[in-house]
Amino acid sequence: MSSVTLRKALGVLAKSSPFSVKTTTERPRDIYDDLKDYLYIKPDIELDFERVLSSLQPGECVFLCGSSGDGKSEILSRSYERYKQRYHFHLDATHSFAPHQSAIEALDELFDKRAEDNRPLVVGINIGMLANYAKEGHARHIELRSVIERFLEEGIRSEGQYRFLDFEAYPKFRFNDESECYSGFVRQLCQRLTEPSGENPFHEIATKDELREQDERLTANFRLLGNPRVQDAIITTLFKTRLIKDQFITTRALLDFLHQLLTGEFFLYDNLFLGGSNELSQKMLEFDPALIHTQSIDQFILRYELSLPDPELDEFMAGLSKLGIRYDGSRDGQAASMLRLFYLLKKCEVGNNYHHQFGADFEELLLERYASVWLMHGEYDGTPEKQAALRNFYMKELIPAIFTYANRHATELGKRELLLGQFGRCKVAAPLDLKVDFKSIHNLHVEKHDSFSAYLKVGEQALRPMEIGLNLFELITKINSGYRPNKYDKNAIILLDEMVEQIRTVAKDSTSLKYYEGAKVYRLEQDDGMITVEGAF
Amino acid sequence: MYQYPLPEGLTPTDKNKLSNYWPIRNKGNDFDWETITGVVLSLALRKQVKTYELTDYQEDCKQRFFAKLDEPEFWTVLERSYFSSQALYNISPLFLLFKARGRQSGRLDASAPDLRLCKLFAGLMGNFFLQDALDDHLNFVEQEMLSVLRKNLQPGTAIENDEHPYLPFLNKVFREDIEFLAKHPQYLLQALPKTLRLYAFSYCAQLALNITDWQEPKSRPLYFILETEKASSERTSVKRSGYKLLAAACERVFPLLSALDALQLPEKPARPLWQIYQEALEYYDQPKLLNELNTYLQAFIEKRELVPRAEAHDVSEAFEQLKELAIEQFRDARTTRGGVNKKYVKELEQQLLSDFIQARGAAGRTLVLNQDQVLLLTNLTIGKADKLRLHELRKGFEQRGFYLDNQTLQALVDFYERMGNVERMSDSGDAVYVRKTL
Repeated sequence: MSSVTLRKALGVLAKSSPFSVKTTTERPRDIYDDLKDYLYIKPDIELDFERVLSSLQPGECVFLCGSSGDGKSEILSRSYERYKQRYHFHLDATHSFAPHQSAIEALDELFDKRAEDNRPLVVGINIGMLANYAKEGHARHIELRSVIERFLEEGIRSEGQYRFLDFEAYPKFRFNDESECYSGFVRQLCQRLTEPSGENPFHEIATKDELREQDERLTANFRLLGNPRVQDAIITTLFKTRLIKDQFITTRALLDFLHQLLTGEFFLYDNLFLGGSNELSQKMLEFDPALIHTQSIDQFILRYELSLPDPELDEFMAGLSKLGIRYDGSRDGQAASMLRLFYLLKKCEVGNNYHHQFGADFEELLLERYASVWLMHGEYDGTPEKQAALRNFYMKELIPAIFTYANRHATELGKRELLLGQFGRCKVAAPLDLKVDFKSIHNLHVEKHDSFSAYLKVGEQALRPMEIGLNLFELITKINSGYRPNKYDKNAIILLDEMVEQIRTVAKDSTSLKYYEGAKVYRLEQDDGMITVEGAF
Repeated sequence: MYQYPLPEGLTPTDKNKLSNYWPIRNKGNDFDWETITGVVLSLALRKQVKTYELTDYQEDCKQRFFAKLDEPEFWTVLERSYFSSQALYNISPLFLLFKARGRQSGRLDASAPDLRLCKLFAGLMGNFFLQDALDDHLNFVEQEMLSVLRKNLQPGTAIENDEHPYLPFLNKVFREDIEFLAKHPQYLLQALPKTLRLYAFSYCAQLALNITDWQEPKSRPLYFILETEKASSERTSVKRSGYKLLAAACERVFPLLSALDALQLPEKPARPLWQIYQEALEYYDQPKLLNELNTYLQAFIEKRELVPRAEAHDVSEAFEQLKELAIEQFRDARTTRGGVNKKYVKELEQQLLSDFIQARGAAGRTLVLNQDQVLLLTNLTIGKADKLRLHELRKGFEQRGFYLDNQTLQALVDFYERMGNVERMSDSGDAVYVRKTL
């Protein structure tokens, strides 16, 4: 082991390493196998999968579905040895059995064999492939195809002889994770990798490197990653890419991401935000703290780049060097790097804690507010305290945003009136009693990992729920603070438009209408087939 | 088949005449899309206003509201809002029927070019119509106005279809799309005119691409790129099966359709070339048919002063000859025929294809879809479903005559992602669902 450096040892994490793809091989074990095995964290889906396998009956069939890099093959191969005599395993459903055969035909053939052989079948399959099979598989497998269809459409995970285990049902990131951050999985992974204990081969190797003063930036990065507060900042950034950029985060991508953070060209905080070849890093560019502009941050940049005297900063830098972080040479363009450092260490104690003065600039207000509203929906139990919290969001944020958006071309409308349309110079509006539907929140709430459903009603008529993700949540906040979306702003607007359309349909049934013509307002009331008009002519 | 497939005593005409299956002439092709939209709606609903004028209607509304309002003066407000502007047409698609008024004679009151384009859509519609009335969701004032209109609508349409479909595959999707739009009247209001432009393009392009074939037409590859994309000559599908392919195909349309005109039976619905060919091959007395065809073709050669050629040995060969001769006559530099054909092609390009053609630097003229067209096509294709897999969406585009290569498909997904109407099931490329955005 003595000859292995930390850089080489960490190589097992990279997506370019042979370890990133699970294959069955007869190669003799070496130190890298041990390193990789040490890092393995058994995911919850594996526990459930083992439970299902232990009780499979003849003729039954299990699908383990996920994205490429989720760890399907890893899990399958761990069970393979134990069950290979009794069950039939099909590891890679995108492979065909012959050159002329398509993957769909290969699956057809696989399911044909199942009819001959009553052994339980275990299939690892990409979820996209599964969806393709449901549409394009042969007609003779129509029964199975419709079972798959129902699993995909309605989430029925168990039907007749079929079971589905889906990685999407075991999110690595969640608002209500038990660990005190958004991802217990990433937390565990970082801890295991960096834990300063004799059990941890990576720690042993790092210690040797440190003694030899070899690859100092790498060992500094490695120790930084061991800090739980640093882990928090990394996990939060990852979660934001999931929520805002809809990025899929697979295990393989995560391991490669950690590899890049540690072994990249710069210190960890720069590696985190400067892109690089990793698919996750690519999406993080826009979360770069160096893009934040507040008065205190801009002042810091000026002071720093002009090398104005700042004894407190000098003292802080001395503290930093204890962590192996040293800056020397020109300060040109280095302020951005300092800001990333401040961001990453915002909750850590370093030297005189110079960086804490920017704490407020780096707060994740949006994400935290979203997380709290997300939780409120799940925790709602009908009690007045919980109701008050929810009401606050609906009455002060969601409903005002909907009205502001719907009436954006008719600012003269009264409160609680909805614009139905403009005809000539006349704007037609109807009164609208839009309220929170507490009963539906209580009865119909289903936990979703990256969004929640808002329930509204008009009068007593319940509306279809409105799915609110972080993007739409941000838009709502922005609308309330004066932002006017335009048609090129389509991303989250579609959902808002759908809601407005729905409400408008209901509002058209109103028995009272208002016509706004310039400064004049007429109020129409439908009553027993007659129409009464109020307003001066 | 016992019915003789050709007119008795078939003789070549003096001039090449075109009256079926094509909306374009060599001049005079200004279309009024509002009228056309009104007529298509009238075809779909089998309802018309006949000679009921907008002013009659306004008067009827006035009477109705005078009877209902406790302050009759308010009528003037309604008049200002709905009648002094074009706002009436924004209430419900039904008001577009005023754009398709008939004459006293019962015939449609429209210009010759509009009539031709309407005939195209009547052909696409065939005997299809919407079973259910449009379900407009209106407020009580608009409901009153609509009910006055409904009372004055009459059954029937001012234009009849007298053609067997040339492109049955396109008829099928067109009907689906109309049916889908009818379920969303407010969307129909803004989308129908654009949908008709899309189909006018697709009909002409696909007819041109199919016209030399004897089999029932099918959707033929014709590649488009997105407006935001770069055209590059390395993209083989776009280069080979793009603008140039279409332009070449368009040159054969007038020669062949005018040859087809001579073969139509009098007083019977027009038939496409491929159908006449198939009926001819199935006709029980092949020698008689062959003989008549040969006589016709020899007379044709003589009349048009073309290079003489031997008689055909069977009916299918005779049709091949017919095709060759029809095209050949337009290559004759001694006559003005070539020039006439060029005008047909030019008019087509200017009037119906130009929305989809852009000059793109070194790549030359290229078929292009802009964002509006892409979104419309997306919504139509998804239609009744909530969402479609990307793969199925692409197939639906192709059924409508719009082909995209993989590179464009990637750009399309990026576009949808910015729009926010995609759902990914996993990181794998094909597990992408696309949602409607009405």
